[in-house]
Amino acid sequence: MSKAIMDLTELLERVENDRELIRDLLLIFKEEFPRHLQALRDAVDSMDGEKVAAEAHTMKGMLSTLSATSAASAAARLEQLGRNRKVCEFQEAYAAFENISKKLLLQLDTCMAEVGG
Amino acid sequence: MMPGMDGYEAAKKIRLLAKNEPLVIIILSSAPGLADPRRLKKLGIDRTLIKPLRRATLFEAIRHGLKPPAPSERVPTRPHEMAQARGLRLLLVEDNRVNQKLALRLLEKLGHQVTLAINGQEAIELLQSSAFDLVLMDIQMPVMGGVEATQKIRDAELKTGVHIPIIAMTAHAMMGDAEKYLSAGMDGCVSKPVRVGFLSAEIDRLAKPANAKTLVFS
Repeated sequence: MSKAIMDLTELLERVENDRELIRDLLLIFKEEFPRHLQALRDAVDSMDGEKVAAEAHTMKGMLSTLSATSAASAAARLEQLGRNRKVCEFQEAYAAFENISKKLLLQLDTCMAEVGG
Repeated sequence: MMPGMDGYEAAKKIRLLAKNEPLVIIILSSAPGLADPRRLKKLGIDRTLIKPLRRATLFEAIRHGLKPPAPSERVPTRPHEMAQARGLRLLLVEDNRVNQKLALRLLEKLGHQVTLAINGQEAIELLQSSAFDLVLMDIQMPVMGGVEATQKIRDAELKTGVHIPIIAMTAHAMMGDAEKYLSAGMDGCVSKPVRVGFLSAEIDRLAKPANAKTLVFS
């Protein structure tokens, strides 16, 4: 497996080995992610700091729940930039977030298989 | 949602047709925030389960519906088991679906009955219509966030003298933030992503089931 974006071991430990719960969380994430990514993209393009912060916060919440720490950190950076209205850095931070998120999406099916989904 | 007749309408008709039957109706929903508890009660719906559905959750809901679980004779020793024995009525206020699922599952495993609100405004409405033992409150939510909702709840409680424990669930795991939440009227704080042990300990520390009352706004 490629370098893990999602720490499945940590997640399993945190939910007391409830594999069915992890599978549900991954399914919900897969369903929710495209909509939130689009909303984040739109917020970044319109240079709306408040919206960037709100959407990045949602992403951060989902990603940290899934133990996807590096992706959650990239979202946290965007959230902070949004709060501070640092519009010049939005695009670069978004690109970094999108890049790591794509890697995570590629890993999701492997994780799903590992938890028996 | 279904074409022709939705689940709520069907439940209503079933209740009318089987007036005297000890029937249990469980609704399966993918949009839990839309379910108004007052409406559910009126329609005779016993429980709402959120999709995607776990086999164990469905089984437990059916088992619970058919036969109330016998009280355990064993004295609970671990904090998780103590919470399980208490079966509190909790209001979970959380807008993020992934986090909703995680918290709902962990809390149900602890034996609690959980109602979901997707923002602070909805939480206030639910508190006015139903009794809860404790609130688990996310901070940043659309429509109304956790701090504002807590302040409104505390203001309303000034008239009644009731105090419902409110636990902040926050990703901002910074001391300054925790102080801000406590000064807004929250009683405790757990950081996200939530861990069952910390969550259970904080609920045990704060919950007083005998005090459960509805919120009165005038």
